[in-house]
Amino acid sequence: MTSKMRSHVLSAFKMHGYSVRSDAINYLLEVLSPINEVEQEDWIDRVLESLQKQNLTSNIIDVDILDLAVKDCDNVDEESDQALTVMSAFDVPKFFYNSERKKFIRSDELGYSPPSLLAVAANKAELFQDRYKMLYQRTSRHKLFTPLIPGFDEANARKFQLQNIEYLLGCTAKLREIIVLGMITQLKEAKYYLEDLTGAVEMDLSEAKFHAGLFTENSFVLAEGWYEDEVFHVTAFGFPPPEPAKTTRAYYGNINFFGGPSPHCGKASSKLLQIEQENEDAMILFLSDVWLDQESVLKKLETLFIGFSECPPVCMVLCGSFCSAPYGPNHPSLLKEGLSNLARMICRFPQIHQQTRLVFVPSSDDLGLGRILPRPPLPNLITEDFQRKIPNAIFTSNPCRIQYCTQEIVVYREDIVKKMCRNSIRCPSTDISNQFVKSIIAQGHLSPLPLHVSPVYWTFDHALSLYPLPDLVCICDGLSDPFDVTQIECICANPGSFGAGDFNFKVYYPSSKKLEESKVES
Amino acid sequence: MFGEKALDLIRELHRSRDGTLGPYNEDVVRQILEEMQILYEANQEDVAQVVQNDSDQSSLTAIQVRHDSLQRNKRCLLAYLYNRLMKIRDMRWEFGSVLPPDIRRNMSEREVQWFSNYNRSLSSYMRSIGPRGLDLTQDLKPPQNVFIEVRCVEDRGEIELDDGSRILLKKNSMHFLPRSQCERLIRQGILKQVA
Repeated sequence: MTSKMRSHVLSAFKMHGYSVRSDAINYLLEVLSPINEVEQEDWIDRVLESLQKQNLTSNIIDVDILDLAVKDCDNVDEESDQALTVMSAFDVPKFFYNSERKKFIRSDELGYSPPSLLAVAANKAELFQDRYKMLYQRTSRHKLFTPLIPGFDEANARKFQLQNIEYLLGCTAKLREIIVLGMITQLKEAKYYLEDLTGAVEMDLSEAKFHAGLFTENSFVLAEGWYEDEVFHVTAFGFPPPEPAKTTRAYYGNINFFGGPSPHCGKASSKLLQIEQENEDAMILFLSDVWLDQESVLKKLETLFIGFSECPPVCMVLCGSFCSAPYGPNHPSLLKEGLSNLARMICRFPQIHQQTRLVFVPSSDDLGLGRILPRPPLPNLITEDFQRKIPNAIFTSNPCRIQYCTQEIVVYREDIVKKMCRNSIRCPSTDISNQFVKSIIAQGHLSPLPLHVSPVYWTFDHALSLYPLPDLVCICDGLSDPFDVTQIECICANPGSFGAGDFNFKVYYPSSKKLEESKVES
Repeated sequence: MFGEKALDLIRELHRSRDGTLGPYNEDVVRQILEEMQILYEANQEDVAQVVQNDSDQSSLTAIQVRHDSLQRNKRCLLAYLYNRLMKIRDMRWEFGSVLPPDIRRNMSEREVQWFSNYNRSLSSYMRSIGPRGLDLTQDLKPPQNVFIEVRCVEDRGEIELDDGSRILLKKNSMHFLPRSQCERLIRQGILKQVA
């Protein structure tokens, strides 16, 4: 029986053009042995199906590949388990833009080694180059910059051509009406330069008009103006036009830019969409500045838990800082105590304890490696006990990504709005939150600041990227007022400070994509 | 001029060497589609005018020219897509079900999908022939001998043959194998025939 089965499996694989290693075939026979013959046939088909979905590099199948395929078949029924995935910033996949093929290719497919924290100097330059390439392909595809098509109504349509800085530097005559995409830098003290992949040129900003947005150093801008005598006289500054996530996906298919276990983007899964729509009451809560050392905060949390005890939310995102002030050497023990108080409290609400995922996002003031982004999770030493009592707790990095069914959510805890204002070339006076949201969406990046203001691990810069745009970006900024701004199908929200403010928080309903501002009454 | 971009696409196809697949030219395809959209809208407007006002025949020529350009663009686009698909189909017979990554990266998302669908239909057809299936991709040319001598070029571990016997693929090892078994491996460059 076994030998008959064996040759049957072998020929099935052969017809699909695969050669099987002998250890792999033994493994498969072992997996198939407990089930009857009809089902076996069915299973072989399913394994072959999932093998085709994998991006194989050779048609010799070994145990690892087969194991993956079998697990994939197994998982079909359990997809609901993956409705909520929390990803640390250190697991976000990195993509390189290939301008010849016009495609984004995953770095591990290209054979690059995984990124390390202590990178070489070349990576620092690559960080800006990658940001530039991403923005350039997005901008050049925008309908203002695509080549003119014959028969087009030329009088009404304004079309521009993007120029490289190399082109400016090579010209001796005066050039008018030029548009350049470049990065603002200060190569010399108090002199602004515009830089792209081909060179840098000095800018004269005396006549520049600024469009809405926070223009910081090291952010990318579209500068319009005229060029003479090696100086680029800028008449107008604007951000590169953003692009809705739908358009991005129309170009690049179902690549999973966001990260997570599935090779395809969650938007493509009809099963997940169905789960999302069926759970109309599903909620995700966002709280920032959860000061566990303060009695009043814990009390309010208890009120909150009582309120939600009957209909527990799917997920609660608790952002740092978890202590109201730095306590020096006592800090770890106080934090640990605060966490154990919280754990005791949660245990009194069995429904929340069992059904709600608790996601902890640290701030830069919390214990552990602080200021450099992405920030790793709270150290194990502190969280062990809590994790044991509450297995649904996830301690993750800052920023982190959450995928709920088909929706992509980015959580970022940093007092970034003020920082951006402080570092922008011209500080705007009104409507700061709108301008801030516009800037990060246009930049496609959570922290478009110079590295000395907001340091980033050079090889993990992609973890801060916002391309394609997620559905919800939760910026937990303790210093600015709560806001809730929707721009091109991307919601950006700040829940405000829970501990320092009036116990504000935000509730997100994924099925209707609605965001509600709430607070715990005193 | 109308249709120039479409001709470029065909020229590009023509220039590429036999058996190679260039990157899918998404940009130009989109530009052509945009051009077609503009032509179509302009035609719609003029046709509506002519229908309303029978006596005004002045725009008929313009409509005819635009319509021909539309047809030509469509034909060029279809020819481009069809020829690429045929190349991809030939590659299934040449390389087997797993394409080398550099070829796969030149394909568009839809082409990858088409390839895997084609793959599925072909293999289920091959499995349905006879009691044990028949591999049609084998012996594309009439074989000279049943057994051939091969040398292994890469370390690939132990693999199993149809009859249940196993061979160890070690670099520089020599094997005397039935042609039907090793043809696929030769095509992949894992084995090399020793004359």
